[in-house]
Amino acid sequence: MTITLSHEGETVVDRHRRIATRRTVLVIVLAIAALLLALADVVTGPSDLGVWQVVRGIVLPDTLSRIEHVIVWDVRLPAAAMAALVGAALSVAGVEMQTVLDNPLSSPFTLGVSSAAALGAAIAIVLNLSAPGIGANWIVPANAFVFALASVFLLQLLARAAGNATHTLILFGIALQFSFNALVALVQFYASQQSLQQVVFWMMGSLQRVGWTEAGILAAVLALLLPFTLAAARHMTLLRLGEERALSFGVDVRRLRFFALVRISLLTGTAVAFVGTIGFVGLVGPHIARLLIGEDHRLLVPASALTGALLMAVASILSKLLVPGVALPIGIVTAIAGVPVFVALILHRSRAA
Amino acid sequence: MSALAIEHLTAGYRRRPVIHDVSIDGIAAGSLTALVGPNAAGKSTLLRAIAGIVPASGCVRFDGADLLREPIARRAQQLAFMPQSLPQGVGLSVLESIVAGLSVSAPEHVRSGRDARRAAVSVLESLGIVDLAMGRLDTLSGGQRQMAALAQALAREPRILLLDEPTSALDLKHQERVMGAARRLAETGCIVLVVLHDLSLAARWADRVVLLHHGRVVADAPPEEALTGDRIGVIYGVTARVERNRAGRLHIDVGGLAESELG
Ligand SMILES: Nc1ncnc2c1ncn2[C@@H]1O[C@H](COP(=O)(O)OP(=O)(O)OP(=O)(O)O)[C@@H](O)[C@H]1O
Ligand SMILES: [Mg+2]
Repeated sequence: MTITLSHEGETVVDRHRRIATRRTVLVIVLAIAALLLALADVVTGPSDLGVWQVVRGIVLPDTLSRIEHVIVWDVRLPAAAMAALVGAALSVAGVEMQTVLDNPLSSPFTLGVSSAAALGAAIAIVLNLSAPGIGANWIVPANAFVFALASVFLLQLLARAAGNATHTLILFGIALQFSFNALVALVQFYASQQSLQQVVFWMMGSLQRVGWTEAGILAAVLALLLPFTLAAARHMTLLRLGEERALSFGVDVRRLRFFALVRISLLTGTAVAFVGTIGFVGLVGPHIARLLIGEDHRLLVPASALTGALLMAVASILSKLLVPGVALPIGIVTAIAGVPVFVALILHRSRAA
Repeated sequence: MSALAIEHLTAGYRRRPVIHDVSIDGIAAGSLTALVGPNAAGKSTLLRAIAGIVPASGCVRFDGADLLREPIARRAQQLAFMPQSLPQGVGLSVLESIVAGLSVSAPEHVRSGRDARRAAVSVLESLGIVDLAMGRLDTLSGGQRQMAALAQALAREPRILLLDEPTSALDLKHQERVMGAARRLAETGCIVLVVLHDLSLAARWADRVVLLHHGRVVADAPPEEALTGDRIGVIYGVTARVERNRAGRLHIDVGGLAESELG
């Protein structure tokens, strides 16, 4: 075999490996950055706890007073953990959705999962549902989750009846989204003043109603699903080269799509159930990761998880800083801050092209 | 070495058959067969059916087995397929795309990532496009992307290679390279099936030409027998003369649209 040298005297394989190494390093840098920002998120807050006080309080909880302990350990840490986890979950779901639908504008919410969850939550709130064995404050997320999953399975049924093309899936998703939104409006129309307020607040997306249990559940779902996502990564990369080619490589594309959608709905459903609709992270996170890492899903998936976590940590910090003394619902912050980020990305892309 | 035989193949989309009862017998190992025919004749559909991408009835015999009934991972071991349309906006480098393919289905001697990278580079070298290795697919020209897709298929060292219009976007030099690469692969015992619109190219490179029309085989013979002026005239709706030039090559001279097409 001849060795091909580029002008710098470096072989093509060397260059390829150098880029691969650089990307791995980038993922590690992202991980560190996400961790630091999550820490900054814990440190930020209305009560005047110093940075070192908080950091020391995390490492040595005994150094905190009882109130400080509650603030750090029962309020800020679970909220910060939840922010990072929600970001990771939505961003991973987003990157899978974009590949599976072969559409860079997809997000975990493209197919109406969040609208379905909102409908579930609204119904639970307005009808004041209760179920045996489920605590009162769990009924809303539980119902939201059930609706989110049910919508994905409904979608699968419709798509199967129509021959499984991706664009039909997207069209049905949009149709479902409109229907769910209309139903949410209908429920709101009949809601009492008080439950209406609750529904609206739920839909804004907020970290204020979560504790360790919620964060733990989402962490468990993520930990359970991520290995499967990574196991599918090679096939997902190949799917980027077109469905026909993936099939010719022996990839069972239909199965790959189906299980990706199951993972997406579980991740999205769990995240949305606890914190409401958090827009843009699932769209922008994967795009930033793709710009940094490229499209090899073995690295793109972890990178997306990290950019998602990072973005949510930033959003969470902003939600506490933007209006002094008020913690804005984080869903509003991501939606508002997401737009300029998104526009910047598009401009960057079109300039690069 | 084993031959490929297509028997009574019927295939299409959503229960609408596009190719009807197509039989092509004894495609010998080491041969290059050109599949030609007008637009919408069903050439791509036939390749997809052989590759197991669209549902088909009938059978595709190879090596004592029916490829249509093999598990898709096994079929992928034997067969590589380069589709007619290639996606745009893929942010992988050429080398990455080849290695990604090999990480899912590779010839036996490619066991590690290192082997895969080496195999990828040597295929790119054989096609003369090693300078594209680090180029991102979404920044390449249409023809370069076609070369990259071909490299990905060749890297698998398949026993059956299906190419759907691999030269449609290529300049003369690259057409030569691609057909040369297909020919060389055939010489190693591979069965190569190429869809071509350029009949002169088909005549020059193929051992056998299969002419498809409305989903049926209307001619299946060596180029000089399959490609006659009358037949081309009838099937394509043009007036055509086929001549042999001084080098002994078939030359298809198209005079214009046939009377019947001129309304
Ligand atoms: N994905 C598809 N879904 C439904 N019908 C299809 C699909 N692809 C092709 N067809 C139909 O099948 C017929 C044959 O198409 P095919 O692509 O096999 O033709 P072809 O011979 O490859 O033509 P071309 O030279 O234009 O590539 C056409 O009538 C076309 O409309
Ligand atoms: Mg075609």
